[in-house]
Amino acid sequence: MDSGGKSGDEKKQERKEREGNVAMSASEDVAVRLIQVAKSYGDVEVLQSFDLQVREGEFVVLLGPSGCGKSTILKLIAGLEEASYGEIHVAGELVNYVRPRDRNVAMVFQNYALYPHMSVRDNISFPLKMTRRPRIKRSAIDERTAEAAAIVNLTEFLDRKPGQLSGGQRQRVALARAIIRQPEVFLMDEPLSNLDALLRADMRASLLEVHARIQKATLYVTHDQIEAMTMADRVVVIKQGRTQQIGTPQELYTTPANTFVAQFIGSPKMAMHKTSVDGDGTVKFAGLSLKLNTDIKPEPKAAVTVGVRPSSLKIAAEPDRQACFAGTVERRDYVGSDSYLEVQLATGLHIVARTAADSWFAVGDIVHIAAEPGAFHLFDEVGNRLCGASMVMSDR
Amino acid sequence: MNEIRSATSTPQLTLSLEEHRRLRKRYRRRTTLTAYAFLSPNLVVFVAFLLIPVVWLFVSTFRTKGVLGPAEFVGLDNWRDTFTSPLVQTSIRNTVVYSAMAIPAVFVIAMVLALALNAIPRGGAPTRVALYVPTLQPAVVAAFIFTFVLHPDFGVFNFALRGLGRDPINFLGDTSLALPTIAGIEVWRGTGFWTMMFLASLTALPNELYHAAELDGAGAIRRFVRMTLPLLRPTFYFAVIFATIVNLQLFDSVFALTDGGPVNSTITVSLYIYRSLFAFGDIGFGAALSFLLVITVLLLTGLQTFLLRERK
Repeated sequence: MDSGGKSGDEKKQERKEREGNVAMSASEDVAVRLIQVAKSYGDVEVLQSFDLQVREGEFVVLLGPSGCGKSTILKLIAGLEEASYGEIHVAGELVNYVRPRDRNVAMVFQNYALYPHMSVRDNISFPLKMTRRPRIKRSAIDERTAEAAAIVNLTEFLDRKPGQLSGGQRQRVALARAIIRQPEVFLMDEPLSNLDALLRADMRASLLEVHARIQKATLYVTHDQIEAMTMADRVVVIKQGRTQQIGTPQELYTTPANTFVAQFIGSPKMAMHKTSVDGDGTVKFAGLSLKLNTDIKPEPKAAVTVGVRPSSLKIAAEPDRQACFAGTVERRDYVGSDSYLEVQLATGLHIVARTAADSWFAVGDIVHIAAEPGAFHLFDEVGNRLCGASMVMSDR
Repeated sequence: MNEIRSATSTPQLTLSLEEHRRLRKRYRRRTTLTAYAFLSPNLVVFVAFLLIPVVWLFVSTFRTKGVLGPAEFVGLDNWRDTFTSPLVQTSIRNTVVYSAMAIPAVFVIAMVLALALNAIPRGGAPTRVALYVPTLQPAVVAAFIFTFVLHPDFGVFNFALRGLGRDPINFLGDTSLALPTIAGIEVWRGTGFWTMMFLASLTALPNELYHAAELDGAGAIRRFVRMTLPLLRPTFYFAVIFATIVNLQLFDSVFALTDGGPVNSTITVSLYIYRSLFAFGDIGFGAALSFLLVITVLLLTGLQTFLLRERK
């Protein structure tokens, strides 16, 4: 099995160097690296060949519907689950075969996972008390506990039990317990899902503040696109265990990679219409002809999907632009800052458009919708993005 | 730079698959060894005090004597006796009849009490304590108590009967009454345990379901039949199997109250095993009978597992 007469220790060292060199040469400031990671439970594949690099200090959000495998990714990195295939590197070291406690990652859970019988102080200091080799001195533990509590503004609550705290305070205790370990990576599994909307907005700000202070790589799982868009440096959109797109929030919104991302990001969601390419290379959408603004020329008669975001559409009482379509208001949703009108076009297509909150449009009114240039997104037959399309003329 | 493009150019693994296999094997071996290290004391006890005696007992079923003299090989004689002896058949019949009386009775009484306790908003604690006290009595103490209740000469119950001008009833001396009486005493002892078991399951059921069912127009009985019973299925599953195992091994009450009499009308399989092994010194026959009991319990629990299994 082994060549030469090297001792076990020498071989171990050699392998470690080899592993380390490969990992480090590939990525100097990469905190977490997943290579072709797959996870299946029996016949059920929850994650398929997943690749991801998270740089040091980066805040990456894993976004997707329930059951898409995003929490599984965190558990794999933490070592709570074993990958069926692929490699997981933390701080340049392969950790697939390292125990969770030795991986130097900290995790914050949705339901806080605080120890109910311990005070806030004991909860926060617990990871340090569990550290062996080298054992940490009592004074150092106290100092670091106070420091972590100060970061999350919990200093005055140190002697309380978790049961005496509000939801937001409990989640801050969980955060402090993660911070105190000074881990390479923070893993956060829907940490704000149990909080009410108001508190959630506050906690988003607190989390980002803490992140800015400690500057550690953070992987944050959520199914809430507002959280993803407001917090992330980059967002990974996942569906059924597969990456759909990785990009900044702005990239996802303006150039979605496919129809899933296009509809998952943005509220109200993007209107989609299946149509086909005309002989002259234009695409019909609600009575308009759209000409593609890139060199990519889809085959004539090819089936395509045209998408348009409500936020790219403006409603007017009279037709005031060339690129405009008319329809009847079917529903009006008032959201405070704006109103959204669901309009049925003459072609039967339903489309949602934004208007001012105090606009006078009512159900049954005939309205005209104008689209901004470049408002339209074009996807091929299977739903992958083709390009942006701009309008050139109206048929009417 | 578009990340989609970078994601499609798949990065390669840093170690070979062979090396991964080796590292994974080593990692798993370490965790498995830890698990076995923790399991080993239990394993030692299991082998020394269960596996070896059972194997020895099985070997004994093919032998006779062995207490005062050397054991002799007798082939299947003991097994033949087990299946043909009329007393074995009586003891099996008694055990089955007893179980058929005691198990349903204790379940129905315990369920009614649990439902009642669950409906009491406060003050349930003293009732629960009172119900649980009989369960804390050892069978011998229970037997002693019931002797003072049922004795034809000085039992409280018969004393009362005589006061009303009626003839006393010899509960434990009548061949047709002795077994139901023992079943009754066991039900008295078991009610507290099963009431607490059902009550614990009832309190764990989600309130929302009952609120929804009430709004949907289901009355109390329909809520019990359509919600409670199906939701308590896992509890019943455990209860039926556990009660069967315990009741098929009925020994102490019979031993203390009737010693199998009168005219073997209360002899149970366990009592007969005890007599064969320790009174008659017939080790081979007792061993075969023990095996028969174990196999019966296994078959019955297997059948119950099959019948009560969760339908997906």
